Amino acid sequence: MTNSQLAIVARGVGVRFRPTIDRKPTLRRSIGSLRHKEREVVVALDDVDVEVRKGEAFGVIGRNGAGKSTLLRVFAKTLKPDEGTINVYGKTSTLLSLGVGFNPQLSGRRNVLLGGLAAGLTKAEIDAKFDDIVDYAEIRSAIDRPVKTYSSGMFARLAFSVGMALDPNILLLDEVLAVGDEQFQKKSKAAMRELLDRAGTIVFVSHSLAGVAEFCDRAMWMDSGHPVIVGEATEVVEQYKHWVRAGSRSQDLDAIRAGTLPAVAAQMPIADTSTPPAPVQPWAGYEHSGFSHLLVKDPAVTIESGQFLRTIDPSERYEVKETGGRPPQPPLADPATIKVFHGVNKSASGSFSLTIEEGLRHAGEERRIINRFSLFNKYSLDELLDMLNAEGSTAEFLADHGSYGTAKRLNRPVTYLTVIREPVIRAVSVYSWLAKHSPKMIGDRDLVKWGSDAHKTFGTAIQFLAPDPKHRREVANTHTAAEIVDRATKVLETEFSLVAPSDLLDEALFVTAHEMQIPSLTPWKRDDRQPDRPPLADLDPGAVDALSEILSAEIDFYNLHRARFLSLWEGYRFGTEFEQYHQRARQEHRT
Amino acid sequence: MTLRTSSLPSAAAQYASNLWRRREFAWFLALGNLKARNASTSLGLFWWVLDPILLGSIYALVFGVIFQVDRDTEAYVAYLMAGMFAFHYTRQALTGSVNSIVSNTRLLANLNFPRLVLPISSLMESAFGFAASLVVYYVIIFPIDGVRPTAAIVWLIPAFIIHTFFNLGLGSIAARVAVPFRDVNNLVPYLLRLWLYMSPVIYPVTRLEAAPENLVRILEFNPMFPILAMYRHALMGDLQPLTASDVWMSTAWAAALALGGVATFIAAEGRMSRYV
Repeated sequence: MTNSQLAIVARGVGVRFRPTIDRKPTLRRSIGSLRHKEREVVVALDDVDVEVRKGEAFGVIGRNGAGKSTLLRVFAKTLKPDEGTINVYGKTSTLLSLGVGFNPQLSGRRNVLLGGLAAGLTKAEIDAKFDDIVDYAEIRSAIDRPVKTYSSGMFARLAFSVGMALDPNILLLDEVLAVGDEQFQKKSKAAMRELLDRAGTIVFVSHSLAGVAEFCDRAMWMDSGHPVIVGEATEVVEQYKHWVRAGSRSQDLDAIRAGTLPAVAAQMPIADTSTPPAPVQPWAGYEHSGFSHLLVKDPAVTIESGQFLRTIDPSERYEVKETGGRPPQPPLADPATIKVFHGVNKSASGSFSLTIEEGLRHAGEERRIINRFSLFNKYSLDELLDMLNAEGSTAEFLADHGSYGTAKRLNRPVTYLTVIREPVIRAVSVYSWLAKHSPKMIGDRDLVKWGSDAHKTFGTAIQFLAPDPKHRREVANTHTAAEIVDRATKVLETEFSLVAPSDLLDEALFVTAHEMQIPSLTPWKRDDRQPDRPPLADLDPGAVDALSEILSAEIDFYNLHRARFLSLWEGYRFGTEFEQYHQRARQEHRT
Repeated sequence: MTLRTSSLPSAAAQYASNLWRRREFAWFLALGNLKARNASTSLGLFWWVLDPILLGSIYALVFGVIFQVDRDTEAYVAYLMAGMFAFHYTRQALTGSVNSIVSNTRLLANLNFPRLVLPISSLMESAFGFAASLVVYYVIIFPIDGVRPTAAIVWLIPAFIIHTFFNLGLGSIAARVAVPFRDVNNLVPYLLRLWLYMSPVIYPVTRLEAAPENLVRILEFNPMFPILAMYRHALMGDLQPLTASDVWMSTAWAAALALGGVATFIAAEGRMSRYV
């Protein structure tokens, strides 16, 4: 491959950080470290060789902390590698986050200018493109309003539009497109396709495996700062998924690198239910570990009864009983100000606060988000205070970036959110749909088999109903699996009323059909190029029956298990983590 | 692969040209921040002027009325305010620079540009505020002390330029140090307070005669001495004569600090995004 066909070439790139994740360098520590000459070094990137070709969409996947974002920062040249060389051929637009350089106090018009100048355009260039930018973002009527009054969708559209105004050959994206409304999603994808059509290049870091598989030509899977495999996107995603399902064992990585691990299908975890998967450590190093970071429950907030799933009324107020999980924190001055909400994260990505916003709006609450996992992982208290001062308004800052910890340390009232991952609901939805429409395929016999394996598979529904392990065993013994599914569905429908179950069921079926690549379902599979996809609910009952027939005809037993397993596996992981949260909270309460 | 080492002058020229290309960014960033600040308080930009005036009034009350340090100084309020306004410029520039990198971490993480843009932009903000405060200087001073502009006012231009370069150098050093050592943020107000008292802002230079001679000798190295002298001459004319050594001293300070500060800043620039 000649250089003219390459967009980015990295050779032996290595980046090492001195501890900066939760310990910012300060004078005291620097003096301290003079004594201890040995400093802990975090290897963010280790000998990364990669070539990104012109005209391709290149995905980067991997667990959190794998070095994906660091790699993107190296590509963007905002981070100089400690070793190795990096060559970027072309004009790069970096959208590591949206709205860089924006000042929310100022008007949209002002921010177009600021964002454009920050990205490297001149004022004359921005003026010439201004109309295009505004039209593209579809915010002409709001352009003179302060950006802080924009909805999340408007903000995302404007920021993306400014980012694209640079007219880049190379676009670096870090999860940013997971935000915003559907309209924004469509627009941004269309813009990206157009860029690819013009032989532009996109590097795309994402947790959305489906997104990477769908959008990217090639992908790289990274772990611990080192590439695991590079290849065709669907293939890499498949391998990664397989590895995650098999328990994310680091010792498997070398075999995968060497290509000596048996093919995916042969090792479907369905045959492997006897071995419990490796436990997930949601708090390890305060970093998000893959699936865990969108999880449910803060151990710091425990409700009187300990039965958090049964206390779903958004108007109720709960008291902080204990702290734990994170470093010890002082108790809130006024514990009654903590309010627990339950939202549903549908995006399954790192940027989920916007989804929660929708949920809150739905619940008639004012827009105040406490995103448990965002800020305190990144900044020290002092920095947060600096940022607060710089932002001008504490209330706004909290609303925009707030975290539970911030609010707590500042002794401010917070609205606390609990996030339930969408796949859990999806699992239950798919299950109940199948049970309803194809009873002969999911008979009680099968369900009971799964039910008896509650800890490994069917645990989703049961854990919903019975967080306490003792109670769960009792439920599993006294109820059929079908009853449990039914009950769990009802819980979801009534208690988690923030989502419309029928929509979700639609979505779940389509996602499953897509993942399973069931040909007869392709008219309904997710496809942005076919926006007129008929919603399932709109189909007449006959069609639903027909669909059910197709399902029974098309899906063999193995596939059915696989589909079910795929859905439930995520549910299981959710369940395990959930359990660990509770255990830890209980333990720390005792000590 | 051939190894190319670019010479220092050409690297400096390269950096300067990159910086020049980003001048609009610096300017509109400063303007945007001013505007945002204007929108967030009801008095808005008026605070730029009000701040040093209020501070000056407090000192005028304490030292002028209560302690009577102005016994042998003609037009004490004019003297105090000139010093206060000029010192306030350095104060604003320094605090602004310290925060300029630390509070723009998102820009640092996302975009590649000469980082010096940020302290320069924040310096522009302070310079704007200072200029605004100079405009109202005589509005306050004339009714009180009867001081009015003289031909010496042209000295404002060199004084402002020299002072600005001085602040740039100082700010660059502070910004550079504040990135790895966030403690600087907490230290700066105290250093500024100390510096204020060690400079002839509140008290006339003549009052130093009573101080220990060794201390005065050290104090005379304080770059604020010649800088304030230039401003006072510009604003108060013959009431505050200017010596040639004031001009040379302040120019030398400004040149040395600006060159040294900017060089230190640029040398550390590559590592800055590691701390964000």
